[in-house]
Amino acid sequence: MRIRFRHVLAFMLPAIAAVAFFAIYPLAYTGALSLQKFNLTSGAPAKFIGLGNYVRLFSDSQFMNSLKVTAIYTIWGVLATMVLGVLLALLLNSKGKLVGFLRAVSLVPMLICSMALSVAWALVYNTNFGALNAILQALGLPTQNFLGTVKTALPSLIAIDVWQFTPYVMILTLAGLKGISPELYEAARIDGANQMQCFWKITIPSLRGVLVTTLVMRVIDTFKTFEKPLVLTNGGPAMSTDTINLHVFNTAFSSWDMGYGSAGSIVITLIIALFSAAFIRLSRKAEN
Amino acid sequence: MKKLIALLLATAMLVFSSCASGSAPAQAGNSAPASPEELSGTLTVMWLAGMTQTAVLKQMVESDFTKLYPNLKIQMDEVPNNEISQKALLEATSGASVYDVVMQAGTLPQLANINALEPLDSYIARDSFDISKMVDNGISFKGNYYGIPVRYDSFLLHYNATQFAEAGLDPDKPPTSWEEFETYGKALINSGHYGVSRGYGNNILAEAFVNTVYSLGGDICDSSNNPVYNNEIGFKALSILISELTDTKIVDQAATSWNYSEEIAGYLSGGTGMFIHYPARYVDSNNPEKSAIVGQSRVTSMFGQNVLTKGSYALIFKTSKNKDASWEFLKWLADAEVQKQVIKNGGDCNPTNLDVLNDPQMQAEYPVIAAIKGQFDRARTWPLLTQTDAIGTNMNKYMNMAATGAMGIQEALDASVADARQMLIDTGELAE
Repeated sequence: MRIRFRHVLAFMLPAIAAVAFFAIYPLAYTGALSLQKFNLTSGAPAKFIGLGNYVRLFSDSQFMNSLKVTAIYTIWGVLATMVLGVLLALLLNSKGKLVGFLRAVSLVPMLICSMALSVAWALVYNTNFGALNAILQALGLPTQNFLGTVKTALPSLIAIDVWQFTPYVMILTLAGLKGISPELYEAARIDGANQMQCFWKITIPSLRGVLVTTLVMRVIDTFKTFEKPLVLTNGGPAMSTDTINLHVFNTAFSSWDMGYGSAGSIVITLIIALFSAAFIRLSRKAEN
Repeated sequence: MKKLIALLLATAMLVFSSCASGSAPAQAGNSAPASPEELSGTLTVMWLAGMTQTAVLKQMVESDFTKLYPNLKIQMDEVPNNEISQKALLEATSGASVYDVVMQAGTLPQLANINALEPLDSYIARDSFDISKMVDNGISFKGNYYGIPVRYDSFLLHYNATQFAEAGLDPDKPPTSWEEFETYGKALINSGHYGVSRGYGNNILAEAFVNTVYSLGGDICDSSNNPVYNNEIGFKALSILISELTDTKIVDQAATSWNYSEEIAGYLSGGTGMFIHYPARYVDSNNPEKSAIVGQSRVTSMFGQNVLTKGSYALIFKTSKNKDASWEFLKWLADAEVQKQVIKNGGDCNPTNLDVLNDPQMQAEYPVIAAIKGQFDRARTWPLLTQTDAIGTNMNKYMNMAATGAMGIQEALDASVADARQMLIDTGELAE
């Protein structure tokens, strides 16, 4: 038994070492740094201040604003991608050349690098020569300063996220749909079920596992959003697009306040961990 | 015996105290400058990308400098402007940077404060290098020289002479005060152009604000590093900038989301009559690939008491193993003939050698050099503090809030100053 355990340990050791080095050590180091007052440019040594950075974080109106912005961004972004992704999957869940072509085309936004995509959208949203304003003008409508007003900047960023990630939800949902046995639908129809009843009683319950997993991935991904606000608005106007990751990045890498920045990173990690744990639990419940 | 012990102890204390009383001044690698043939190895340089001047200079490094130093290889890694300061600081803190020379702007205090830079004083003394012939765009810190200036970026007034004429303004009489600037802006608006191109986005307004404060005779920090830009002058400066957007509306209303490239495009596209910006825009305005106003733009010295000046400098990392070669490279960059050639080869007209700036022939040939010269005595840099960059970023945020109406002008200034104070207290640059 002991020899077997040693063998298992020997095989697992490289993986354990990799996880420890690349995940546990950086996290522990960040955690330790978050308890210190340490500015990289001051030349002064780090000083232990306990939970001082966390107290400062939660009394910082800019940090609280970034939490609010991220929450709004995540809720609307995830909701829209999930609904549109499932709808698209249902529409494209058939055979045929056109459907195949549409499926392939719909994947394009997901394949583009986020930074490049953000630069392209900056041109689309441009007030003076952007494609969207050209369309508005052609329709006789007033042009909009999409990224320049508090009311429109965040929805404009959410729209890009929805455009980019709806295909991701669609693909996963399509995979789930392929796994549902057609016999279930046939049996339901024999029993007199209509399409809506089939959708709610067969499709959705069968997709529950896929949808929960997709939801978890989308929430984590959207919560971590960084490149789009960085490239398109840098958190403005009036901090209306200052997402939590961007805020922490700017704190850590403009003022080089590494202690405070680390505290922000730990809070982000904890929030994402909580989300993940809650969704995994939900997923298990759904399976049971 | 007691006397002998006391004598030994006193001697030991004397030796110990002399060792402990601060580090000895840095010495140049060799006691005399090396001949070009003696210098060998590879010089790795972190080079600023995306500027006309640095691109031309890079070509000249590859052709002319390498001819002068045949045994020296030079590896120039181009880094974009918005990444170069972070990259340098991360390299410096790693303690094992591959770079010998780094090009930076505004970050010298941060790097010097963490002991990442080689002081140049001993090299300057050894080679009798006349540092007084170089412009000061923030190359010294706490009594030591650390950098050789490579770019001299001083705010100038650029204006479109054709649009001035269309608006009934005399192209030979550009505005000489903020009041006139506003009047000219209104005249330009009435003739179908925007008055001024200015970005109010989240990472740009601070420089325009500091320049306006300086032009009104104000300061960002007082002599004890205390931020004071929420005073009357600061209020007036920000009011001037915001009223251009909200009251007189002499700027494009889309400018609330404009940052660096958009405000440049605003002027070079021909949509705007005036632009307060760096010397490089003069060269850009006459480049048909970048400009729709070729031959229309003129440039003059900035009005007001003082003017904001910055620019890049070349620094030597303390970890460099090629310090002598690095110093020779810095000296070559500072050379008047090299700088003249950069301008003649189409680079931006922002020389750092006073022999170029004061050259009547260069001034006659390149009006932008005459404009820089005209305000040279009034030029001021940002405060030389480790937190200057962070204070600028913070200012941008609050000023964008004031510009978009999310905060009042005084409220935004007070909040920004409070944050700036805290940053300086945290780094020990301001007494609590």
